[in-house]
Amino acid sequence: MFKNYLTIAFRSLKSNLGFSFINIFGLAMGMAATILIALWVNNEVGYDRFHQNVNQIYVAFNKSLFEGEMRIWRSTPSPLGPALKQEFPEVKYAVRVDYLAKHLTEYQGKKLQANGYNADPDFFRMFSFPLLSGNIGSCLASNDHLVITENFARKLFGNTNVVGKLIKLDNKYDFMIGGVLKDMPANTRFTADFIAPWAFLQRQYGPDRLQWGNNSIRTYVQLLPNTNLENFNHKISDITIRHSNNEEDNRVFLYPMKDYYLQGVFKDGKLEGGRIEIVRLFTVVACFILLIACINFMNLSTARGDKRAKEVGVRKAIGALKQALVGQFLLESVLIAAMAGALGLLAAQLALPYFNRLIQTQLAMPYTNGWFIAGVIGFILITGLLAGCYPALYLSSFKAVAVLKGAHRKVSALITPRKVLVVTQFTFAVVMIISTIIIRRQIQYAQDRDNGFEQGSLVYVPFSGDIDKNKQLIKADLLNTGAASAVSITSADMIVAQSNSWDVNWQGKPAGTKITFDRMATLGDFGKTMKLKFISGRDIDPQTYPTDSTACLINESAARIMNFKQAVGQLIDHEGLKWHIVGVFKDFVWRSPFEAMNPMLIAGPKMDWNDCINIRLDPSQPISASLQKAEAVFKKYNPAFPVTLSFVDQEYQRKFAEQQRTGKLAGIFAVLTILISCLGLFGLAAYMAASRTKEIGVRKVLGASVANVTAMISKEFLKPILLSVVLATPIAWIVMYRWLQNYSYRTQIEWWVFVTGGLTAMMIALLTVSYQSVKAAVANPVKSLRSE
Amino acid sequence: MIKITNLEKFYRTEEVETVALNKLNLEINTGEFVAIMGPSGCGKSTLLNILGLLDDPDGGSYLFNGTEVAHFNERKRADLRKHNIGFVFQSFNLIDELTVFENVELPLIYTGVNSADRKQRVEEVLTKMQIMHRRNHYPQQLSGGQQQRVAIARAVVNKPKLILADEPTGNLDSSNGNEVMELLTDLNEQGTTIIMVTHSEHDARYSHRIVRLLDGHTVVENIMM
Repeated sequence: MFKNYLTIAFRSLKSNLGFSFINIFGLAMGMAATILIALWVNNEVGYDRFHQNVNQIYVAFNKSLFEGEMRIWRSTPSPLGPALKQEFPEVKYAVRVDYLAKHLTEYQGKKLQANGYNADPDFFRMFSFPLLSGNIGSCLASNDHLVITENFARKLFGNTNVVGKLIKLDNKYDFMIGGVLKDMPANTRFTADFIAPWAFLQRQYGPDRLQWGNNSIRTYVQLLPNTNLENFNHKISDITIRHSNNEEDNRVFLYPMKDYYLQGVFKDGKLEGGRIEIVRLFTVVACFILLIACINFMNLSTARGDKRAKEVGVRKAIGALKQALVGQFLLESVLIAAMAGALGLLAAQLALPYFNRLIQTQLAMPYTNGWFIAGVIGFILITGLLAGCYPALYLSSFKAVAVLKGAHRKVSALITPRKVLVVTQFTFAVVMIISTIIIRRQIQYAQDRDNGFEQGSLVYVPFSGDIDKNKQLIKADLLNTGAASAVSITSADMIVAQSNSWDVNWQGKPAGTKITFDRMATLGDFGKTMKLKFISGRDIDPQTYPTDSTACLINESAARIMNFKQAVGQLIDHEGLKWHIVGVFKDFVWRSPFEAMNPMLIAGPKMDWNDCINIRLDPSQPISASLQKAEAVFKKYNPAFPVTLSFVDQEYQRKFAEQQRTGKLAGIFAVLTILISCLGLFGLAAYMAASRTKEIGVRKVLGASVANVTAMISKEFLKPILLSVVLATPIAWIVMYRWLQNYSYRTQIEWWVFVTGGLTAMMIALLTVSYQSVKAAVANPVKSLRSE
Repeated sequence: MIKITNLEKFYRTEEVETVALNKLNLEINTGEFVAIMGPSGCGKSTLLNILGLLDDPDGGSYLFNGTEVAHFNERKRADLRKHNIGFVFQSFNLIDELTVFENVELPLIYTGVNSADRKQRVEEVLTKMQIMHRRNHYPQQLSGGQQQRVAIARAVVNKPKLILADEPTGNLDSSNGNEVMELLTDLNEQGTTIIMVTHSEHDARYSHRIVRLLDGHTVVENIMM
């Protein structure tokens, strides 16, 4: 029986090559897209959940009221971890981890830039990052031990058998390799080239960072099993308040590590979601793409139904039950799904490198993984059953009596259930088109935003090695050699909003208010170098005005909040010093170009936080010449380190990367859905033209023109498409309206977007159908009538 | 073998109710060859479909070998059909995607005959129908007469007790038609009961008895000499 089913399935595929191609190819494309998205979703869902102790690991958060709003953030004070471990027996491990930083590594004259962070020794006991060599107990225990990854060991040493070898960090600090880590999976937040002991921070900066008021590191806690989180959080809540003698009012709580990546966004003290939303969205998109591909299969299989009607009749007369026929047709659709699945897997494999580049991941098909194999088989079965259930029920319900008598009514290609399916397909396609347009407009809108400073020909060099020592000499040389027209030494670059503080006070500030200011420090010439637009006052210039060592600049938003009649000349309390405002500048974008501007404070030389040299290249010279001169200056004063000049305009563009990715993905999905839907439409049109040959012949004999007939067939297809546009409009509006709410700087949704999206879909559908309808219309009526 | 009493069948559309069979009574004995005749719309095909258990009556009784089958469910009907009844149609109804051999084999698959036995029985019946040399051809490659012989081979391969033929020569020229009638006569002589719907007086003469229907009931029965 099985063999008989397979035989007939293969032969009917072969005898209708065109339809078979559309069926299999359409399904394969849908399956390929679904496989890629499933790989990504699986990767996201598994993010940092592979740690053996994940159910006991927590992330420490701070919360505090700011202007009536409960804010929650994850950077914590450095003494928090040790205090938790010491005071609460429920704590098995408490590990501090700081932020990834770039360092110069050197081994026997070979120099490499590497990314690393500092962590407490229990890091490797808490997290499951197995060591290739070395001892978990001791690899970070000593101040001069370093753990490096397998991959980085190969880069620097050429092999991984390196425990005990000595390397130099930043041309200054000697370290011994204490362990080599197996390469970390891509879906962890701890990706790095090396991990240094926490004590390295003290070696670099001294013990000053260990204050309860400085929230600049992350704290992870592993609790003993069966610890009640709610009770524990209650106990630790006031730990910062106690230790800071009521100077700080931040409350501390632990949040499960396993939920943190996907659900880590809080608004006004409440969990609001996070990445889970995009994961859900993509899952829905994947399901829809698969559904659309399955709908093609349903439409074509049922449209072609009368080709199989006779077989159904014969089988029933011979004694086959309806269930047996349903089984037969389902087997056929699973078979087709298997072929499409194989093709889809191949297509997904070919598209994977491009997909990885697009979404910045390193996904791979785990062919040898049992779960993957089971997943693929399950996926094929589900697709086959989903695509095949309606056709199987439809075909198997043919009345034997009617079809065997030849009285089986030939159905027009677009009767109701099929129409519903076409409407579903195109509704989704139109939503995708409209969404793509709106996402692109939003990106464009933010790119066109006045970012408040001039990015062209602005470069920066982060401090390394001897730059700090020679900063004034470097500045002078850059100006003297003609490489730069202005230079400003600052605490941070113009790209990453590196610091903020609520320790900003002024006369007239309402008591008890807590307002966060973005902040930077400069040794002068900040406005000149960045080409800020001053609303009032002037730049910080200690050369001309000796009192400028305690001068500060504020932005327009800050001036509005401080509400001075005349801001210039007013005093601000910050970090224990009094700063006098010398200028107010127009807001510039330091954070996301999609966000509202924060109030900002630029403190003068007295702050003495220096970490970056910003250089305005001399516009009268070719850029390459200026760069060469600048590089020579840095080589002269910081010879041990490679020169890394970054262009602000290029770095700024990266702020759009995530939105651009979303836009590109939406575009790809839009094209894919349109393509799959049109494949199906093409097949339906072919079928309809064929089944109405006689009608068309009669109409032509009675005087219908080619144009009449073409219009008649096209109209029948345009109606459901038009309905799709009507349905898609509110859906797209709701989805995009909600997406835009994520951005405070956002574009308007305009009516013409919907018209454009709708017209695009209709034009494409019309073009698809027109080939078949024109072909049917120009056929010789004599021939078609004789054939009946 | 067959006894029907007061058999009724109606066809309803929204506005009209048509009586297809009107309290029809008919008895057919094992080994008979009966022709059913009558003008278009008199209920011949409806009767044949009910006899073949492809359709169910709205009233009356249908005894098949002494068992009341008028209200059998789908599963029982399918079961009875596949073991007892063979069908021959005017338009042959061979499955285009299957070869001659595979078409004939199909009923044996549904009755669960094993592969070796199937091969033997299909070859036997194809030889008898003189179509063995075409066993690997597809239906489209055969003449009308050959296709109907394949259809008859398929109808008899399960050795049914009853063959229902619905205008078996309707799509054939006279010489092919005669061959088919000879085949049916042979089968009848070997003991198979045959009920045939036909418009052709010529074909009807092959039968033992002609049942003439008009407006859903029997008007006359002729016994052939």
